[in-house]
Amino acid sequence: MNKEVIARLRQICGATAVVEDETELLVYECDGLPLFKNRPDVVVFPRNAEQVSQVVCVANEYRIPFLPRGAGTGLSGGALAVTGGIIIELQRMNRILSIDVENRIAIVQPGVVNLHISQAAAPLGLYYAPDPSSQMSCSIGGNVAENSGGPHCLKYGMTTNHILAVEAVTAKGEIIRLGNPAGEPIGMDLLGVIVGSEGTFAIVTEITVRLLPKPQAVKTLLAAYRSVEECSQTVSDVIAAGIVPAALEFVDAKTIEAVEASVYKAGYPRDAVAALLIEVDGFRDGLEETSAAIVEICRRNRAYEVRVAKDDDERARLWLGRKGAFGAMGRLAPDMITMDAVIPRTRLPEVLVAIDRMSERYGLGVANVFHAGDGNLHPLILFDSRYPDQVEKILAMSEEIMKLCVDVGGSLSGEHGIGYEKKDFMDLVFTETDLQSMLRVKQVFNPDGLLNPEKIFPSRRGCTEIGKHNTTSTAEIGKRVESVLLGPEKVQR
Amino acid sequence: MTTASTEEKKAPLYLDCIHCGLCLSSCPTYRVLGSEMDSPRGRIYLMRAFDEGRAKITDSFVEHMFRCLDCRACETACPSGVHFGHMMEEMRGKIVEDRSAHWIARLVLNHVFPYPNRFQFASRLLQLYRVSGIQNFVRSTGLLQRIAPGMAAAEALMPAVEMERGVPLDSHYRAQGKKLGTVAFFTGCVMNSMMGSINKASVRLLTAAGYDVVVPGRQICCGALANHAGLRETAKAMAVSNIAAFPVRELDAIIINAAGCGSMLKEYPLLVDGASEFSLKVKDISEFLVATRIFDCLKKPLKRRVGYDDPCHLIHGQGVKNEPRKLLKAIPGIEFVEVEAADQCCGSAGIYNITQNELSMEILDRKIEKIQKARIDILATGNPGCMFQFKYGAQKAGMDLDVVHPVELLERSLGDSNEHN
Amino acid sequence: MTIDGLSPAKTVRPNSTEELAEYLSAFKGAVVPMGAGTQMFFGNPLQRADCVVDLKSLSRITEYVPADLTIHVEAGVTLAKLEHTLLENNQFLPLDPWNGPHATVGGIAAANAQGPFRAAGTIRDWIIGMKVVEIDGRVSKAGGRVVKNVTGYDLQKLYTGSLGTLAIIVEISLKLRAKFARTATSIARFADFDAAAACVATLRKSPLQPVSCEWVGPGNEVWLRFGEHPRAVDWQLQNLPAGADWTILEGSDEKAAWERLRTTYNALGPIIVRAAGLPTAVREIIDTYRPQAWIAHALNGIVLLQFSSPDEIRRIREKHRAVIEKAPVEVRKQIGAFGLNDDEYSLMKRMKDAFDPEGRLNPGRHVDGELR
Repeated sequence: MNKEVIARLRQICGATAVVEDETELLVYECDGLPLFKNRPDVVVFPRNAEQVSQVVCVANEYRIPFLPRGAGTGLSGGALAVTGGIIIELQRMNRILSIDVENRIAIVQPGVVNLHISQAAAPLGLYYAPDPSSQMSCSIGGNVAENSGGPHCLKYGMTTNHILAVEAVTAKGEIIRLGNPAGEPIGMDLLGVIVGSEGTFAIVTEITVRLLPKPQAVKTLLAAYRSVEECSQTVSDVIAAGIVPAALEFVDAKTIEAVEASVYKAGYPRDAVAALLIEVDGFRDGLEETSAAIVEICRRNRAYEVRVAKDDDERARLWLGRKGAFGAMGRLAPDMITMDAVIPRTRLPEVLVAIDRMSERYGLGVANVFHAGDGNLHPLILFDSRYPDQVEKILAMSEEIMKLCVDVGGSLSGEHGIGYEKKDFMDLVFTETDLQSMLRVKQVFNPDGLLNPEKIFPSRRGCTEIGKHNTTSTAEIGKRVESVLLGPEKVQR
Repeated sequence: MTTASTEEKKAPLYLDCIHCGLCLSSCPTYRVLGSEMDSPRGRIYLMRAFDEGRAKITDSFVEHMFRCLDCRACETACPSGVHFGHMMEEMRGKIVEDRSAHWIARLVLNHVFPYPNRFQFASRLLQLYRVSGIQNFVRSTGLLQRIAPGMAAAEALMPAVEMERGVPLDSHYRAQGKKLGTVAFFTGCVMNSMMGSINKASVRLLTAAGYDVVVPGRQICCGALANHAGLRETAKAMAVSNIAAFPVRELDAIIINAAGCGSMLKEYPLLVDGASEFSLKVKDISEFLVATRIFDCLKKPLKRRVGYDDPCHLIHGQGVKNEPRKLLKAIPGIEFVEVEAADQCCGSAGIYNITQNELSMEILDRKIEKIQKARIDILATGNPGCMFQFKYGAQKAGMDLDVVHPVELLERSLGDSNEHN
Repeated sequence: MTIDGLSPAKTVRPNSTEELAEYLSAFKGAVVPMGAGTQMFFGNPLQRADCVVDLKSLSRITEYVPADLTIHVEAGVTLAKLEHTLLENNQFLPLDPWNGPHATVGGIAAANAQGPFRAAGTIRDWIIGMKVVEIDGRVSKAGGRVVKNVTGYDLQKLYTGSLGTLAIIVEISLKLRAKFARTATSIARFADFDAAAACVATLRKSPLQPVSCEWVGPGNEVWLRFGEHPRAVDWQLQNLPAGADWTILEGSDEKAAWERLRTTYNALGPIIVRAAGLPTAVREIIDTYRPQAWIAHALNGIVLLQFSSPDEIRRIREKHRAVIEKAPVEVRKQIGAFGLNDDEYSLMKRMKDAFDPEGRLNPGRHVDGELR
């Protein structure tokens, strides 16, 4: 990196806020998806929007690619510096600026940990609803970029339904404010299109979030089944009965096996083929009845065990079985990839069978965790990245799963985002025209394409030209495997 | 059996890490600095990179490794159960092999701590320094601050060494009332020399609970500080000495009242072979007492607001969390207050508050803030380093706060209910 | 027909998306998309109109999977038809825009039209995917057909509320919810402004969760609608703010009451301004700007204010965001409908130019006609 640029960056952010040491840059070569790596040229830690803006201006001046990064827990390579450049790390902008109890909003900086918002609001009787599984470490800025979900978004909506206003720095360095505390889109919903734009439109530097009152009461149940169909039918019946669960999580036999064998032993029935974790919340009056209605539906669908949590401890233990899935699986092999696919919920049984067959065919262990309420499926696939053929299999299996989900009417990503990981599959879902319209919108915000390049759009498409889609060839996979094995490789700018 | 083979046998521990990042916000240094290389995930990544030949032991590499407090809060947060503490200690060992530790560290950790007599002597010197007025003089001139700020920081943190001696080696105490068994007492070096009354209180509690207490004469410092500093060979030698000093088979338990030491003793099997029998008997005094009749002996009321801070090596290193709280809450008249973020490191971390003073103070400030919010009279915590750190922090903040070991409060409560505190 | 004083030469009524796409790929004039035509007065004045595109024939429900809680409809489906279809499966959408059940879903989306169900969000929060036809006849889509989806940019959010000035909405996918097991409405009339304001303030701090909370003036009525499990509704009805005489309505009485409110809304005029601020600012807004009549979605911080002069609009915009909900074309020719700030204006202009460089879709109705 140009010495002049480093000096300018030091001048803007302070010497201790600029990292260019080779060793230190290593840890920034990937985010929560270590399958793809590339070292940035420099990492900066601005403390306010002004500094972010100045850094962006320098990047524009020298035509250097740049991208934002939160906690780096993303699972689609959103914070991967594909073409090197400057990573703008927002973790030192981590203050909760204010909580307005009466108006039920909070104004926070992007580096604030998702869970910390709820923890700060808890004594005031409020909480922040979107709860991605990484909420103990992920940043709210990252949530805004990815439009993160979580088990409770079934009832309460995703991040986009809870963002009222932002301050952001555009790709050209202008500091803009969008939205308003009433959450009323005025004119065009620019805020709505920025949320979920995966850091390719603007870098958010301040966020006004909606807070909700904590529910009066919560009921959590676990139901165990001997067949996936019965489990799936229960979900349909619960919905048909007009019940709106706060969360509805499905775990399969392999997940239960892994969890019960690990320190997350939650007491899930070990011989269950499938289990449902169901939560309802709201006013105390009527919750018992709703809970009883759910128990009845479970039994009617031949659940052989239904457990209702008696207190907070038991509730926490039931959730441990679901939240521990990730970690429990992680212990079984050196590497694990958490896939993210979304299907119409009614198609789950057939999709699970297909994934099971794929698992056998590829010889890779797979466990499935499914947000049954909204069709978001997470196949957890075990492998060992030290073996190139396994990496190749992972990439091939990933593609097959995505194609399957699209075939049954679903899409590529329910909550992790497209990022770098899934960009070459966008044409499974979108036509050229669709992608061109999206590119057009991107160009309004990011005309030179310097902000977070090589994300979301298929590789063969540049900013200005769009080619025809070809099936991903083995050669493509081979190239990617190379980059994984041989270490960081700088792509031509 | 040589000890080197213990390390070579294992598959690389870093493979347990799935790079999810859930550990980040549990790490005190990440919370302060916000940089990935000062996070557990980042440090593991560097360890792996070093192993794979992608990183070398450079100045920045060493800096980030030694900035770690080794508090192991990340282990508690990790969904995959990564053994971070062990990995960090091994890595530091490799670093020290590559470039030696600081000469003062080597002098003190290799040549003073492992030798009880030398340690006693050094602590008496410290006592003299304080009591004779030399300390006041040095502090009043502010000279140290100007010529060696690092030493000034160390000096400021220096504990006021008690006059009272601890528990003599080779001593033996009888159970009060019906005898239920025999335990050995691990005196620790710092505790026995500088906070002797705490050890005496510990023994008194154990006998009240119905146990004979033996104090083996050949025990030495547990070796934690040496291990954390990367002086692995010294630590291993100390482990071997201690294991030999205790008649493990004759004991119901080996009791330790310092969290840092307890964690080290329980993990001797990671350092040397043949340590399992010994380590399985090691119990922190709180986890031991909580299963005894001590509750019947707590008679004298203590009408104060008392908070408890979890020493990292007790809650993360040993998984002991509820036991000390249960014991304290059992003291008649006590008003137990749960302090916010009690499970977060205080920044003491052995000698970290000397070697990384600035960061240590930043971390301490955040803890003091939370303690102030709790409005307590007494803070109890079961580790000497933490006690020194909190005493310093409270004094700096002008707080009227007593910092004690939980056994001190329990001991005060022993006896007739007619007497009051 | 005339729109803002203009009389477009012709009207076309395509029967399918393909027909519309074919037509637009050949047509070179200014196009005015229209559903039921209930929101033609919203936005800035139309500047050119060569052809009205009547979308009412795009009225098919293409797919409805109750178990998936999704429905896919063509833009010309009316709200009434949608509601009726959903009700058969005990499902519904909390949408009740003022312009009524004969409005089309496409039109509601294009205008982001709202009504008293505002507390549950607007149509923007229920749209999961959209298909549009762009000015040159190309058909594109965004979002998907599943309720949780982050694949690609959320362009459907951009199209919602853009008044058909970026592209013409032809198909919408919506997520659904179960019908409320029971609803009930409680209405109280207060002696004066302060008493009503106090009631609203109490509501903000209470555990009640009404799906509608309307403060209607000048009569100072507070309307609360609850939709929930029957016992939860009961509990809320038993815990209404004290010190007021609440009339509880259910069933057809309830329905009639909300129709009356719709009539009240429709009688507001000639100028209706929609001000947006924090819920705690609602009282101040009404008190400071003294509208002749008002309807406030009190818990959302949105107030509909009736004025007779455009000067009030300028006054409000000094402190709050304010959109012109309804006003005679003469007024809208003097003052911008949206009240955009500089950032918004420049970005929206670029967006409009990117989609419609020749300015042929509803010319002038949005940012391209916004006076500042």
